[in-house]
Amino acid sequence: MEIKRGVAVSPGVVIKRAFVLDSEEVRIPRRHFVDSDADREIVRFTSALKATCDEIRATQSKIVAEVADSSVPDIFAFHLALLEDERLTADVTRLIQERSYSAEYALSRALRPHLKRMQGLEDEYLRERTGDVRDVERRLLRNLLGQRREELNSLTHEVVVIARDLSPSQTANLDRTKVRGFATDGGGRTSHTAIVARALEIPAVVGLGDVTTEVSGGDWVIIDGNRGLVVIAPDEETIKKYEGREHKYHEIEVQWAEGRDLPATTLDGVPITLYGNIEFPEEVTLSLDRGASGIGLYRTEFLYLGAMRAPTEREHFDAYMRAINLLGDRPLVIRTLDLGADKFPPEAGGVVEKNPFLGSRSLRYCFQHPELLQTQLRAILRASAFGKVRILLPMVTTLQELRQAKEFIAEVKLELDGEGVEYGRDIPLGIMIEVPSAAVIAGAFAKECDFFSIGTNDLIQYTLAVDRGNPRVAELYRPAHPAVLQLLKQVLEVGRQSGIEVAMCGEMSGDVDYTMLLLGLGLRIFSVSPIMLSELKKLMRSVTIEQCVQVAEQAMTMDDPLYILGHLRAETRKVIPEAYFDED
Amino acid sequence: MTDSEEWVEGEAVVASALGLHVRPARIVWERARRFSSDIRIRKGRRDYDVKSIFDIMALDASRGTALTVRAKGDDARRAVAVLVALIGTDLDAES
Repeated sequence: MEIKRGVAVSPGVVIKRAFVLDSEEVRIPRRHFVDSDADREIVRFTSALKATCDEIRATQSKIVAEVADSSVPDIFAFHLALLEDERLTADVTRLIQERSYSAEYALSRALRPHLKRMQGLEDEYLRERTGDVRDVERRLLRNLLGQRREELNSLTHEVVVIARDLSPSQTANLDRTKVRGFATDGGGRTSHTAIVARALEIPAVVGLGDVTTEVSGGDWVIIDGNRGLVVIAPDEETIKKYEGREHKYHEIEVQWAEGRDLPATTLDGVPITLYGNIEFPEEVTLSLDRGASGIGLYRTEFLYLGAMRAPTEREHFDAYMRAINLLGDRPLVIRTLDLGADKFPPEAGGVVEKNPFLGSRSLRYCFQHPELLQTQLRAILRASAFGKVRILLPMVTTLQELRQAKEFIAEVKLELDGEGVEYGRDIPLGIMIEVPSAAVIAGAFAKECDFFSIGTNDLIQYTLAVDRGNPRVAELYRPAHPAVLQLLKQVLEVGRQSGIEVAMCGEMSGDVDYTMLLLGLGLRIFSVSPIMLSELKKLMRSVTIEQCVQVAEQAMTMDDPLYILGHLRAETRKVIPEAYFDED
Repeated sequence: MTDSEEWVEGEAVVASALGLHVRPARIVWERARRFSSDIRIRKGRRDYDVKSIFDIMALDASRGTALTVRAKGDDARRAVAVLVALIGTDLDAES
């Protein structure tokens, strides 16, 4: 048994057999299958063998018709002989049965001694035949791996998919009824894998480093999307523990979901606004189903990622209209492009930066590539004629940036006026508060924009100078750090005094550990990942603001992030103990 | 004593111009696998399985190499006779 830690990007717990996705046919890692799958592997091998023989025969007859050289058909006949060799088939079968090797690995192992022996032959001509053996091996592997690719859309049993990182084309081929979880080597919160997992509502852990080399196809794997853990080949006891959690999690989910149509109002009658965070328009439905009253954060990066070029105005507009059609007159907050230069291929203007988080990203990048921002703003403004659309600017650090963005918007509006195109005349403009400088001068910003949305992920990273993706310092990433709490308190205070709306859309807003604290500090608009909505609402409906104010006041007197978190958890646990069902 | 209990042996000398490589190796292998007997070729002190093309190549047998064909089984005598004859034929020559 081995436990690996990664980034939890989609909650839930699942225990299934692993389906390891090879990206290419380069190297066949040592892969074991469990005994019960031996027959399946043998069938895979024999059908790949047959397919390869058929291919060679087809080539052979074509060549015989076209080439006069009589030695050419001999080579193909020789290749067929290699494939039909009973010893080889027997060796492969034995390795699959006795050692539980995958067909690919068994083939490589069975051929290795033959290749080695051939390399030692005196006859040079015979020695060169190793090339023929390798060629045949490659053909066989291609057919084996080809089958595997096909299997992805015709899985016979439920699996969790283990991959380096899932590409859009790979996920397009997934049999969504059979895939129950993801674990990947690479990726982050906004990677394609994470987005698809949240949309499918299945647990996912990414950024595991080398999970594909450690998991063998057919292994039992536990994916704990609540804590970002992957357990490889778990022992009996662990399986039991997790089966309990898996069951409990579903039970609680059902229970929470029952409150979906109830208002998110505290026990003392204070209404709270719950919005969903989405990456693509189809997630609107998911959010509404879970009881969101709008979309508080539409991350438009997905339109840019994966494509080799910037999206056209039409592509932007179509995506926004899809969301608006699903939302009706509920609000849609569209955040403009929030990517760094490091995320773009060089031909699209990307460069490798030494320190991308402090580099040309988000709004800064847009200002350097005005056409990107202009195109997006045109589409947002045009869409605003059809729904309650708002614009949200990411990574604002100075007032001048806000003013510059406003000039962009004014220009685009003039353009649209000139073209006689309709748009929402008083479309609200807000900024993300995700850089300490913006939090500190929030009062000044409040005079020049319509709303704030606090992005806690970046705000914490920049305030504490911690990259939580770096395992050597990840421990220092503490949302409950007094400095963070101080900034949050200050921004919420500005909101109250100036009368502008303050929402929070970072991960902290969807984490029940902090809900009471945030309510106590005065937050009334929470924008969260759709899957967190029901749990959050359940908690909000179970507390009074007075109670939360006390919890927050107590937290503000403490100086140790760990103790603060402990205090918050203890208070939350009193209200909804089921949220902590899977604590060790 | 019947064929099936005793090893039957015969001596052969490789006649194919380039030794037992691609074409001759395949022809010997194809013919060998049609016999039910266990058939080996001994070169020096080592035995090779004639029913595996990988073993035939591993014989590293160039023209003129002396080999012992050994078989045990119901059709052992016939197997030895046929294979000794095949190995002693230039299988690279156009038929």
